[in-house]
Amino acid sequence: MTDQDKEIVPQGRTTEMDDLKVFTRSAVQLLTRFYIVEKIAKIHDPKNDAFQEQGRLLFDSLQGFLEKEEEAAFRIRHRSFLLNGIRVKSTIGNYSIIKSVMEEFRSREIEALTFKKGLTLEELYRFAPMFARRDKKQGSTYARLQADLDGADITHIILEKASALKTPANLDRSTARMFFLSIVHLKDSFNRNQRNEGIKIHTTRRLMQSIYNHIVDNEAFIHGLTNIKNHDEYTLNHSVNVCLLATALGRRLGLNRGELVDLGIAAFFHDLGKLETPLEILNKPDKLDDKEREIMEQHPFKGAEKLVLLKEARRLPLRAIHVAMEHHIKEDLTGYPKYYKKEDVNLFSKIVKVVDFFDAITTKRVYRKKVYTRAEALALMLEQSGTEFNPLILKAFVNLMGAFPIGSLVALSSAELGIVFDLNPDPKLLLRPFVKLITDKEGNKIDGEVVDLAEKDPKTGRFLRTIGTALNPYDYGIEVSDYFLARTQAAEV
Amino acid sequence: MSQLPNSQLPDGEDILLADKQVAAKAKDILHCMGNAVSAMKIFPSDHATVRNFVDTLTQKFEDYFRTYQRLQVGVEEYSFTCAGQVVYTDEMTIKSLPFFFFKDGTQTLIFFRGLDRREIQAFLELIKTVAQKPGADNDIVAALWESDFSNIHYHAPDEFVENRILSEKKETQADERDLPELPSDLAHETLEVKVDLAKFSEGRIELKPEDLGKFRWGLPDGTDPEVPETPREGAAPQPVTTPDASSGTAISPAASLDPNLSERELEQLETMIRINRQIQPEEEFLDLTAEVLCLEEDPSICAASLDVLVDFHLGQIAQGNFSAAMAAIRKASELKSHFGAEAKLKTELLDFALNKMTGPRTMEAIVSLLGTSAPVNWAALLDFFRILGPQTLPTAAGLYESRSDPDIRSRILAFIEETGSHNPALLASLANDARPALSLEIIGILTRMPGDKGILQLSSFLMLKDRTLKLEVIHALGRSPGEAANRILMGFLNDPDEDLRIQAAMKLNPIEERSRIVHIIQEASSPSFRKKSLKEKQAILTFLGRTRSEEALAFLVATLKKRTLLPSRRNLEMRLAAVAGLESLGTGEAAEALEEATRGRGRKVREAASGALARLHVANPPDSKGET
Repeated sequence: MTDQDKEIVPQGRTTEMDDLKVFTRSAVQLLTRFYIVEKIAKIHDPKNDAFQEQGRLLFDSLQGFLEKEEEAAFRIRHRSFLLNGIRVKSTIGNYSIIKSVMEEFRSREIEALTFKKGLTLEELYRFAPMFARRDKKQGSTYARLQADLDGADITHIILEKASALKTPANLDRSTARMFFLSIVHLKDSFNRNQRNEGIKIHTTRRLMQSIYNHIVDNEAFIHGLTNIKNHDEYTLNHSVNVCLLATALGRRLGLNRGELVDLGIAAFFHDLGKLETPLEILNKPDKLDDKEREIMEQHPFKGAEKLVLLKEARRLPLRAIHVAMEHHIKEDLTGYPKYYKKEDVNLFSKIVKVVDFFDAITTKRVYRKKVYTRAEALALMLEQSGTEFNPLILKAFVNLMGAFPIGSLVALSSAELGIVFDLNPDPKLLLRPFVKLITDKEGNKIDGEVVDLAEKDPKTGRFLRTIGTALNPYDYGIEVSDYFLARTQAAEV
Repeated sequence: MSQLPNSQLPDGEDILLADKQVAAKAKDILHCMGNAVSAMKIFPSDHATVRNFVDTLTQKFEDYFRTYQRLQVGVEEYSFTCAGQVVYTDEMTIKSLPFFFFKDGTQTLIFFRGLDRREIQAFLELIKTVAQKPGADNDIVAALWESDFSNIHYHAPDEFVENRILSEKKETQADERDLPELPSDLAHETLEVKVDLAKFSEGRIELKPEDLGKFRWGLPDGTDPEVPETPREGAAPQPVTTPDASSGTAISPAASLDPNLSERELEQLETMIRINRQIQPEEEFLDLTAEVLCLEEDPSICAASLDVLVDFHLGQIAQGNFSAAMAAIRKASELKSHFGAEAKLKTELLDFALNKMTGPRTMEAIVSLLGTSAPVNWAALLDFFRILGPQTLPTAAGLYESRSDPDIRSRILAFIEETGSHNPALLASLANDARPALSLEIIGILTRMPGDKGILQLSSFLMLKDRTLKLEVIHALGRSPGEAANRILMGFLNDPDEDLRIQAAMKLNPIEERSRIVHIIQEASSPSFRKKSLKEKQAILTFLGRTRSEEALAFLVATLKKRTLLPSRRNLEMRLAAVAGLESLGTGEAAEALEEATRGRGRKVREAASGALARLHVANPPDSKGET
């Protein structure tokens, strides 16, 4: 047994609060104030007015909370963030704050941070700069922080060290397996459907749950995997990409777990109708004639029809039928198919429409004259906000993808080329993602390191690298997905 | 504890619970949990036995968490383990709790401090609900994932899903011919893709002139502090460019977007999500199916879709969702109107489907549902009956009789009256001895119908056995002045029940038809009539009197005067009945006959005649213009 396990801590239960909504609101308010104080403490002196003011506001919020509760214990448990044992639900409004605070906890190896009754404003003022200070080169930041707290006589703020989490032996590898497994399962589902056999919707549901788990654990890598473009199996590959991106976007929008699984399934089968479209039309390099276009435009309703006729239709989310039917209907209700009576388009269809379009135009196809880079695709889509796409969902998608989406090939001001591997968790650093260097300054290809574009030269205070422009990887024969897939081997080595 | 397969699980000494005390406590908790689950499968959740088990289990967890942060339980095929020891075993697959978790891939269950009664109850309810589901729906891992308990975690490795998908693929692999094969790297069962790492370091990349022109390379120190990190708040979106980008190309047009959604936009999004959650799935399904049917031109596929619609309809009935079942019928009718004559084949298919949706299978499904203890939305059910029409009346009649709630009865009755009003015969056919309450109501409904159409149907009551019902019919008929009522009342004169015969006779309205009067006189003259009771004789002869016919007068006078050689009770009764008949006849001739009888033979007859005369005088004083 560890000391931690043996420790007897009579915990005040928080569930006595009648109104969970009020509790959640308090929790988000506390988190937001904590987030602001921590951010200000990173850049300002403790005597700074803004720091003092925000510190006071956090203190007042904590005091209000501690009037009803014995303590305010923020805790990370697996994929969740809890206050006094109650999960703080993520919404689009608080997503970045929760994510950011969780990242801060993780980077400091902290599992729980507890404010106890009796906390003073002075303790809080002393604590915030200690928490905000981060030196990457030091070993255990938890140990340093704990030592700082002990030295500063802070007794009403308690830290708990995270259980030594094994970094996933190879999380990337497991995520990649899930990606390819999705393609295998979708192909199997398509085959079964063509033979009028039932599809294994329970398996699909379990797969979607797994996909969700991987998105929570390894979202950036998932985004990277959506750069995989298998041209021979376009529909399968595309459907899986759409499924991953739609689930990630839905999560960002604040959909709950059940909804996300339904959205994932809907996106997964959104192009089921293409099974009915002849390959010579699907892959025709030239412009489709009227008849061919008519056949092509039947695929949404054919897909919806297939889902309606499925033996397992009752187990299938209804919205899968919506999405199959509506993913080519535009925000202004033009597009296809034309409804005879319905006058609205489902939210899930709007979500899938955005990611479907994005993945399609960033994929090389025989009939596509221009393949857009990920950044260009977003720009093009923004031009059609309100007509083709729902503006709010599109905006949320752009926020999800970032100014330079993961997988973007970028030229840096340092004359190096790189591939965006992860976004900066701080929304203010939109243009400063993490980039894997793939050439040196002379243009020689290298298997370079991943650099943080927010990193500054300590001597000059200037950024070391800045993105100059995004490039089209197709123009340079760069298979972006390989750089992500290579990570699954690197860890193995 | 054996090595945990999940790389994400807490590691280290804190999970190596090689502590007998922990194992003992875990054993106690898990056995209590097993008992609680068993109890929940038998009793409803609010049953005292279940509540006791949940209370006890909560208590045991609270005791445990006073000392420990978490309880980590290993899941084996038929056992739970903790701290390296088997703490619970149940090898009966069908009810084994460990197997229930194991079969869906669970390897570990972790209960955390913070677990409370509410969450324990929800966890147990979940087990109960999932265990009751059939086949593939019986997946506890999927259910646990969706429930997302704050203080109960589980671990089910991806390998479980992976194996399932690959084995399903194997099932179909033999017949794969319709789709091109996956590229070998993707289809490889290990799902691994090998990338040639060497190529990352081989060669050069020369930028194209058009890309080179987008910005200038090699800024001092590779730094460009002038590039704004984010767009200014509130500023109109503008392309972000590097200061020395010769072409002015935006480095990322998406960067011109304010990265944060405004409060208003967040509210709008939340509204969209809220609306999406309020969608009525049945309604949407019908709308979408209708749209598909509109777009589909192949009749065989249309027919298949309509079969789905019919199945949906029956499925909704089975669930007691009559509103959705009605909506399905309405949708099909709406489509039929939409297609009209232009799509004859589709219209015919819709007719076929509509017949199915309103036919015997539907009634069977309703009856089947009503035979269960499932709650019924009466308003919806009766609305549904209205759509289905008179065929539902027998079912509604049975429902009326079987329910005791006055409100429900009143609703059902309103439906029966409304629907049966156009078909009184059908309505009357609902009445029978087994439905006394409804039959009484039906008498009222039939009686209230304008004209004779309702009254005529009361003849069906002649065949019933229930005396109360017949009596009610007789009273109802007596209140009806028409000939139709009289004919039915006449029918009651042959009823086996004397009292009913008497009542019917008393309610008969005077008739004028000579032949029928003669017929009754003949009946009254028969030996069998003489055997009837005095009351019945009086009732019949009174009725004859009320006809005021000459034939009746003659018969009554003759009967009054009739003598027998020996004293005869039956003759006395006939004479007394004749007195009553003459009193009801009330003419001068009748009074004369009565006057004569007051002086004639037999004390009882004399007294009766005197009484009758007195009453006639009271009713018609001698100075009045009355016939007496």
